[in-house]
Amino acid sequence: MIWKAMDSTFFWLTLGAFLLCLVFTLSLGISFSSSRTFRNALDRSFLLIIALVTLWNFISILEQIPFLGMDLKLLFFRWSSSIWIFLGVATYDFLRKLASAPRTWRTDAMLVIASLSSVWTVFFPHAISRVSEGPFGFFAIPGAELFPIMLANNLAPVTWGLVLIFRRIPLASTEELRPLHMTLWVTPIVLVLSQLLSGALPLLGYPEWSKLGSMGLTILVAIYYFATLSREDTSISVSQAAKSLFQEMTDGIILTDLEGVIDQINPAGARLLGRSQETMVGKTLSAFIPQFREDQWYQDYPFHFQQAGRNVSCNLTSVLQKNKGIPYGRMLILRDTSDLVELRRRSQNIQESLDQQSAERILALKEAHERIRAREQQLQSLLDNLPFQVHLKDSRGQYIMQNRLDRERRGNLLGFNLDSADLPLEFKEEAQKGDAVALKGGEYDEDFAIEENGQQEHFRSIKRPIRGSSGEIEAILGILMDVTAMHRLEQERMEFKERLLRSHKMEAIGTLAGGIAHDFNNILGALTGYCELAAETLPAEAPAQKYLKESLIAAERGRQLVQQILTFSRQGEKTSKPVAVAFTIRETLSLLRVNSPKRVQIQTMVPPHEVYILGDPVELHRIIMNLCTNALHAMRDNGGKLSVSCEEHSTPIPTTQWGLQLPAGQWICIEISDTGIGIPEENLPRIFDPFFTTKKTTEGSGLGLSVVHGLLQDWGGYIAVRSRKDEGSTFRIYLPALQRRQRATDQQESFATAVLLQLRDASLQQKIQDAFSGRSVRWMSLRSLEDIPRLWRVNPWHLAVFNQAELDLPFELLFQQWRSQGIQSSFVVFSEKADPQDLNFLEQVSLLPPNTSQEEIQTTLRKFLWPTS
Amino acid sequence: MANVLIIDDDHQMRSLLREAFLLAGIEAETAADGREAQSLLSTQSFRVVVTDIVMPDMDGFEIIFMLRQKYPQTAIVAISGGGRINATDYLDSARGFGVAATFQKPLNRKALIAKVQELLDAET
Repeated sequence: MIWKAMDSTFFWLTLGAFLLCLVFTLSLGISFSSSRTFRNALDRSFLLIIALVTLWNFISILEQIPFLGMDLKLLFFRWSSSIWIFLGVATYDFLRKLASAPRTWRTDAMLVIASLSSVWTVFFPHAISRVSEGPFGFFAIPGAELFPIMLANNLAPVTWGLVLIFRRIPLASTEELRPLHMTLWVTPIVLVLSQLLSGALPLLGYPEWSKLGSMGLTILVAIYYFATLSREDTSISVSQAAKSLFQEMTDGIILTDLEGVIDQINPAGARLLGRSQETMVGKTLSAFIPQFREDQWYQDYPFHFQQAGRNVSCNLTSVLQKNKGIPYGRMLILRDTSDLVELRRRSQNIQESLDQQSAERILALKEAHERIRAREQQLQSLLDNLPFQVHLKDSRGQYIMQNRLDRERRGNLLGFNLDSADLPLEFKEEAQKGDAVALKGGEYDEDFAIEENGQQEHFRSIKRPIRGSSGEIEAILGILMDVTAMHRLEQERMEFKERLLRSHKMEAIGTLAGGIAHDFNNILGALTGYCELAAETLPAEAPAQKYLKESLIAAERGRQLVQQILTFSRQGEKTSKPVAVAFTIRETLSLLRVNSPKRVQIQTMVPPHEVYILGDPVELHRIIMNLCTNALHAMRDNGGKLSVSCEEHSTPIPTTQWGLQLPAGQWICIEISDTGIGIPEENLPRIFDPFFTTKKTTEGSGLGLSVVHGLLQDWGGYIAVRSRKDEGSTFRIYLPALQRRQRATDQQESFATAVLLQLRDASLQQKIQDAFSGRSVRWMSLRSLEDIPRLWRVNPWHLAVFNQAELDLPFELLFQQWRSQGIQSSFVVFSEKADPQDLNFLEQVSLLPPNTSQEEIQTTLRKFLWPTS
Repeated sequence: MANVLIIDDDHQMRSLLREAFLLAGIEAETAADGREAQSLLSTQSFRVVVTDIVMPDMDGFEIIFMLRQKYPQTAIVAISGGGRINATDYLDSARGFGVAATFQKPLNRKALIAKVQELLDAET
């Protein structure tokens, strides 16, 4: 039986191997169809081996089916033999792939030869081996022709594969490739061992087990393979994601082999290069990017090229692709930077324009800053040169600005507030008031005074709120003006105004009184006259005599009053001549002492030498009498002390004394002081008014002080009073002093003075002056007639000599004019035309013809100069 | 025949002086102003003329000048009560024009009468 002919052990082993290989094949086939891992190539090769082994086993089983004819079994045997040849090539392919060796024409050629050998073996079985029938069916006997085919088709590829493996081993020595490393070692060992076992077991007498040995080792390889390499496998999802990323990525990805031939290109890459994917695969990249060189590495290297009329810019990065550490190609990443470049260009433009704008703005800012600085400087200079103090405080009261004057007068206050600043209390109180008003938005203007070093200083404080743009009060402006001088001027102005008013009033009253006085004198004259006539015509014992007498007394009082009014209104009789003041005071006081109350002590202080004023001795007497009488009157009840003093006083410059504005000059100051009841303050401004009196109607008319005032004014003098209630009053009189030189001429009455108008007629002048040669006549020469009144006032003379021929006006007119000015001189006038009848009636005038003899001139002049002698 | 002419614009003063002179035994005529005085002077002669200075129309000075020129023998006594200008100035001026005496108003009656009497006596 053929069935019997087959060894059951061998059969079952073959069947087992077949089934096992079928399982592997199926599992690998499923894995291959469902997986798209990078390991596919390897799997494919391995699958091929397993499939071939499966097929071989299957055919081996068919060979041993008993009922098949020998010819058919032989056919199966041949087929299985050809599978062996295939298996060699497949093993090589697997080993090549495992070693990551590139496919070359040699391997391809070997595969072709192996395939042809298989076909040849099938159709010409005797060509390669002799088939013998052994205990386990047919087997090939190596013939002479078999070995080269074996070598070429089985042994050679396997050996070559092993060489590749061993070359590969050192490259896989890194840590991460350790599993690969192991696999590379294990695979050839197992292969060699399985070959050895397959050959050795039949030779050792166990031909039926030879299959078992090689099969077991095949199983080992498969198991190891699955156990180790499957771990390197990446997950399906990641590979899918990578694939989808490859498709969808906006960066162009080009996979090339090491020679630069494009293997794959993603849509973005094709789009970027402006071609379709299909046209590019299989071509070198440099065909599309001329600048590209496959032997160079690129890292974000910029490329620019024209594509469909558009400038394309991209960055190229090349990455070496490796498999199991072996470079096999490049991945080129093309990143489109056209937009980026455009964006960068625009951004650069924007940046430039921004830079320019910013430069312009900086320039403008600088200019503005400069302007502000200049303005600030001007403002500061303005502030610093203001004649008043200016400061600023912030809303919390802290000083934030001071001008120079403020700093000088109050020190540096910046950073201080009112509480911390070192300022006089008056300032602080005033400032507090002002700040409070200004902080409420009000305006504050107030004058105040402080006492410093015993002197009153007046200030005007001005406060103003300063609002910010929001309307909030941000600061307080403070101005402090020193108005002391203004204040003083104002006071002086008031005083002056008051005096002027008084002077006007008195002038008006004077004019009025003068007008009345004339008529009143006549009325009084009639009254007195008729009363006297009545008294004389009545008998002495008549009772009416008494009444008439009283009438006359009243009339006399009236007369005196009129006289006073006339004096006051400067219409009374008055003369102007040197008055010995000290003498007059002594004389007046000696008169007063007689009538003064006992309890009044009288004291006189006059200079040892005589002092003179120009005035009327009688009036001066009246003035002193008047003032002293008032003083005594003030001390009538309580007694006291009356002091009268006189002293010389010099004012080199205009001076204010006792509120009087004294012009520069020499003064005689007479002071009459009492310790009486004083003058009430409210009366002080009125005491020099006419008809003002505090005496009872019987005691005085009230004209006294006004008359005094009027007289003194006529003499160019002044009067002032100081009084304190219950302490007394002091009157002070200032009168212009007569110079000593003038007084000397007055004292020597015998020393005659004469005035001579400068005569053009020199011979006449000589004649006149010679008339008194050696005699004590002092000649004063005049250049102009206008000097006459002035000269008379300062230096009165006895005689004036003129030549009518040299006068512009008739002498008569000049004479009347001078008389009305109070010039009491005698005159000698040389006149040719003069009618002696016209002027000689004037006692003080003598008219002489110019040709008068010197002797006659002498006589005439002497008559006037020394009338008594 | 009156020996004295009194010239004064004040009626009361005129009559007072005439009364006073009469009481002293001196006859006097009166004139209210210069014009009246002139007409009187043209009809009769007076030994002494007592005249006021300040008068309307023709003042005392004019009368004095007129008298000095036309009636140089007539003695003149000037009286004045003062006016808007200085009273004594008038009298001083009058004295300068050669009047025999001056008297200031209010008049010292006795002195005036004595002076006039003296002038009358001197004339005779």
